[in-house]
Amino acid sequence: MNTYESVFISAPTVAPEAHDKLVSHFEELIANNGGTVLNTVRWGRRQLAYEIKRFRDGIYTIFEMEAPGDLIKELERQYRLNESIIKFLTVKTDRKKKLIQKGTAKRQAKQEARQKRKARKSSDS
Amino acid sequence: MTETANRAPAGEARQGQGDRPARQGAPAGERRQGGPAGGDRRPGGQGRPDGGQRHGGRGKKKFYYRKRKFCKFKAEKIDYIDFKDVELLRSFTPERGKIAPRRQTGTSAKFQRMLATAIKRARHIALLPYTTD
Repeated sequence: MNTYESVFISAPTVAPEAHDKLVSHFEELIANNGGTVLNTVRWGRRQLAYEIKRFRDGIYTIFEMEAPGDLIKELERQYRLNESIIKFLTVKTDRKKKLIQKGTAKRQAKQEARQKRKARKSSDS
Repeated sequence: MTETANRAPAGEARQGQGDRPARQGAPAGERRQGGPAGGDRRPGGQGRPDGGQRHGGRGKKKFYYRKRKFCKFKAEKIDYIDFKDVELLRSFTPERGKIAPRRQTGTSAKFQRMLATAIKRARHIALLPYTTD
């Protein structure tokens, strides 16, 4: 199991209710294929940096999930089939997690070392 | 008559120019003295103190401090550059939407690599432009 982040942009012409349906449809798809959605972030309507399929803005939705690799294939296939989705991007976040963990651990260790040093200094004097 | 007479020396001169610099640098310089830029440059190069003063202390060390560059991501303790952090990425893509080089920003190699992928991802998902004009 890997962790992924999957962003998709749906057309601004999609009604809010239809969009809710869309999101729940994909959430189900992920759940039914052995994945778990950890978090669904709705950015909402946002201006696009460039035109996509004649649209100047789009509705951004991000799934943070844990999933087997096969699921991504299916998910992206479904993205392509869906006409209200104009662009998507799925990214593995294993590296992100690792780096953040490593970074925080390092900082923590540093701080602890600093405190120890301080304690030693004060006990010496 | 006059035309042919003019042409012949010109051709000779051209050949001469081609030959001389290969052998010696000085004759080429003499020839260039006619042009204003070449004329200026030569005395400047020979009489350095004079020329230097005239040009506002070109030869001397000038008092100017360059701001020390540092890696923003190390300083701010950012472990991972996320493609969704548009504001951060935008500060590394000047007007044209290009990725700012390391020599300008002082980003460390590790983070420059990460930054590049983050910017490219952001472009794909239309958070950043590929080009702006």
